[in-house]
Order: sequence, then C-alpha cells, then structure tokens
Amino acid sequence: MVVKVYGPAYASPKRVIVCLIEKQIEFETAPVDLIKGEHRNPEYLKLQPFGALPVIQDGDFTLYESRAIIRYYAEKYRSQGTELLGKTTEERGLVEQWLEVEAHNYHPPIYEMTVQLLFASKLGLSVDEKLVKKSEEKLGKVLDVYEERLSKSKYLAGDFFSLADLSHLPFTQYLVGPMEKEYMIRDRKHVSAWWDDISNRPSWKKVLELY
Amino acid sequence: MVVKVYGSVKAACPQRVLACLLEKGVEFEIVQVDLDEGEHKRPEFLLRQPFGQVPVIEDGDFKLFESRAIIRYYAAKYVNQGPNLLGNTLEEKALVDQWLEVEAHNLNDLAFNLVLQLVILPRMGQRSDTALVHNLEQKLEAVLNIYEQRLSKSNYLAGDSFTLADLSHLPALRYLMNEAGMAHLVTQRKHVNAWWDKISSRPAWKKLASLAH
Repeated sequence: MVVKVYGPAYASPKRVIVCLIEKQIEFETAPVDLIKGEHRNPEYLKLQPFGALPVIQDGDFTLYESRAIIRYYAEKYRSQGTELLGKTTEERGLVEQWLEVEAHNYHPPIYEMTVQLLFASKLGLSVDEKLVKKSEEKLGKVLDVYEERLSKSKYLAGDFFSLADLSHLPFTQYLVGPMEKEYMIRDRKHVSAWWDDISNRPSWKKVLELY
Repeated sequence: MVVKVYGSVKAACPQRVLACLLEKGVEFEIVQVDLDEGEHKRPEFLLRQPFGQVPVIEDGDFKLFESRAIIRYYAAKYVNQGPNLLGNTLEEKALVDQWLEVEAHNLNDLAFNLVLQLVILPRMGQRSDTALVHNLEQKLEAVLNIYEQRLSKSNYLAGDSFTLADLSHLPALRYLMNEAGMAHLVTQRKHVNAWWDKISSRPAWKKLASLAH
C-alpha cells in the first residue's frame, strides 16, 4: 500500500512530496484542481474538512496539514533516507523553531504574493498592488533575519539540512520563478547560497521534473 | 536550573508555554517583557528573538523561540513526567501535529484579529471596524463548526486524551470568551462547549489563569 498525496500541482503538497523523496518513501498522487473548485467538493471535504491542500491517505490513515505530514514521515522513517529532524532533542527543538518561523513569519507574506501574482487573474480577480507591495516589504524584513542567521549557520536549524529548510522550497520556488522576484534571494549573500544548496538537492529537482 | 520564560503572563503565546510547563511539572521563572512599552522591538530583545516576538525560553545554554516549538520540545524532553501530551503512537502524534497546525493556520489569526478589534483597539482609544468584526466572526463560526464535527466523534482533538493540540487553544479561546465577549461561539456548540469545559478545568490551566487574570 502506497501513500497517496492529493494536489501535486500546488505548493503545499510539494512540501510533502519532496519530504517523501528525501525519505525514499513510495507514493502516488491524485489531482485536485483549485481553479475548478475541486477542493470544495463533498468527497474532498470528507478527507480535509477545511478544504485545503494537501491531504494524504496511507492505508486507513488520513492526515492533513503539510507540516504535520512531513513531521510524521520524517519520524516514522527515521532510519531511512536523509535525517531531517537533527540528531538530539535540542537539535529537533531548533528544527521545530525554524519550521514555526517558516509557518508564521515567512509563509503569510509569500502566500499573499502567490495568491495575488499567480492566482488572482486565474480566479477573475484584479491584483491588489498595495497588498503585494506590503507583503514584499514584510518578506524582505524576514529575509534580512534569515541573512543574519545563515551567516552564522549553514542551514536554518544548524549545520544540517532539515525539515525547516525543506519547508521553504515550494513557495520560494514560486518567488524566484513565476513571480520573477529572484532578486529578493540574490540580493542576500547567505540566503542566496542557502537557496542554491537546498534547491539543487536531487529530491527538489525531481519534484520540479515530475510536477 | 530553572527554565526562564521571556514574556508576559497575560500574553497568549507565552501562556501556551506556561500551560505546558505547568502540565509537565517543569519549574520556570517568568522574565517580564513589557509589550505595551514596545520592549520586544528593542535591540536588546531582538538579540534574543530576531522577529521581536514573545515568548523565548532560556534553559541553561539552550535557547528556543516560537511557542509551538517550545511546547513540542518540552513535551518530548519530559515525555515520562506528568501527562503525555504527544499521543501514544506515531499516528496519534501526527494528529496532535495536525490539530496544532489547524490551530495555527485556521483559528489563531481569526481569534487574534477579533481580540485586536474588540479589546485592544478600544483600550487604545481607537474605533474597531464593525464590518471586519462581522466577517471575522463568520469565518470563525465556520471553523468552529468543523471542530464541533470532530469533537462529536472524539473526546479531544487528537483522540481520547488531552494533548498539546488541545492545550494550544486555551489562551486565545479564553480571551475570545472573556474580554472579547464571544463566549457564544463556544457555548452554542454542544461538543465544543463540553471540550472547553474539560480543558479549561484542568488544574494547570486554572493555576495559570489565576496567576494571569
């Protein structure tokens, strides 16, 4: 029985997929079309009642929220693939800290920019330029903190790659790619080096190739 | 060595950590950070927490921030002391994380913005946005309907026992139900109400609430 991941075309499901590839876990995917509103279908809401992506089904076990899913698999398959949780309880604490930073400080502005710049027109809405500008400023301030951190530490939680770094891949890819804001990364020397490192991992290249 | 918690006993995010430490019987001392004075945005504090947010903990040499990271750390470190707040199996733990994420992404911002509009802005002599309040309330109703569904099938969010997932909701819901006058959001929902009664009656929470309010 293979893990099924819903919604691979979108960013948050990719957070899960890159983790599964790092941990060498077999999986399959099922499409969900947000533009068509498939996330609001009754069958989907039975799996994920908040109508968000992704959700996974692993035999009888259903789980949603991408950052919960990656924690689960990183721990369940601890002994195979890349170690993504650090080695000690304290290193794990730092992984959790930077995962929370990504969720609460990095994600909100970059998500606003994603919705406005990549999805508004597809949904027949006009782009809110003021909101984009405000979000970009917020994101810039967060990236300044990252620049300072990454000048002292190779990866966010320490000298090891972890879920904390991995969690940044999908939306940052949107930023440097279709949003055409690569300068936000390149203008910051250590963030730039960190981005080059994590985005060139074979697992992430595989995700971009497949989806 | 006693854990130092930087923050205010009245602020929601530090309360999340304090509730956890009380549940696990871990000794702590609170180092007051004056949020009204903007102490958390000053250079000395930014050295501790570069995003200018509370709480931060210092446990000997070990420093950590982000309340939901701190509670996960202590729940794991002291897994054999006090109640188990992480579930008994990996799958239960995953559900703890799932509902912690739901609280963080679906409920927290709505609750925070309602408290901002209904409690903080008036306290600062500013007017609240009635249309925004109505909008936030409607969204929160929709979220709590999903909680009602879940809690009709399960005693606590992640399963049959109290975990970090339930604990994480205590500070914001208390503010919503008291100072913000939105108790009906909970009391009008049979299972959410029963769940709230159970989790808010826990000795650790009652102890914190008496310290704080």
